[in-house]
Amino acid sequence: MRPDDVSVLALLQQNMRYASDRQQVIANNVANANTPGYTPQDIAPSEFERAVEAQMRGRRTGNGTLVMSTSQGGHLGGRVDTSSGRSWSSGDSPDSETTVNGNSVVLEEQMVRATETRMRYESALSLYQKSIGLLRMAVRPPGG
Amino acid sequence: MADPIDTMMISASGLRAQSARMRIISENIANANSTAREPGGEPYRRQIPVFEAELNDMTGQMHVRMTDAIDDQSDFKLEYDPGHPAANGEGYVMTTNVSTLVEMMDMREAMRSYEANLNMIENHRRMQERTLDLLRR
Repeated sequence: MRPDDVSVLALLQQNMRYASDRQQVIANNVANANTPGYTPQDIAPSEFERAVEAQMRGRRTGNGTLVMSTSQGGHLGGRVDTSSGRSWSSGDSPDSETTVNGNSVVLEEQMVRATETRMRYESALSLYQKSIGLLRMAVRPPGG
Repeated sequence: MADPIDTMMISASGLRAQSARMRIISENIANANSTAREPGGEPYRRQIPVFEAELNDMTGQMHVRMTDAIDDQSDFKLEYDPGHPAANGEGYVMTTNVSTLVEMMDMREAMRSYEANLNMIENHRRMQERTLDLLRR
């Protein structure tokens, strides 16, 4: 059994992966805070929700994989592995102001997003730690 | 999962670009009073850093880089100083188009962006550190 066979752990892992990817996108925005014509990118939380929903649906049908539906005898159930690789993509997300050179990064807003992402990551991480602790407690022999 | 080093490298590219910009700004300030040697010559022309987002082949991410420093095309100022070696027939000397006030503002902005990048590195570092703590127990 792998840790991500436990659905709570898999979900938390997915959450951390999302936060980490989003952090990278935000880092990119901050680095380009003075680049003319640059539009900031973001991975919207809805992207994450969509990806998780797809994965959970896959989990119900197979072991962490998406299975194509078969309606007739001759159909093949091709498998698409969604457990690895990123299943969300970043899109344009301009901030509230655009400067004269066409740059629409507002550092303050990016900082808020970065902090939000970190908080999300850390809360997922704490929950992960707790869940592992629970598992550990369960495998420990009584009185040991 | 995003490679932890990649994220740091993006912020590092931001730091590098901002410090290169700082270098250009200090060049401008240092030369704020540089004039030509003889009449008809041009004094120091203010430089403007150019930033560009470019794809880094190593990481496949968009990094930022100061690609060039171009000349500021605004007019030179004229100052009346007949004794100056570069003075023209009417006694006027062409002085640089550097405005220290503008440079100061630019410097503030560069500092702010530099700090924001540092902040991102710190943020990321703390996230990784917390994750590594999982191994410690």
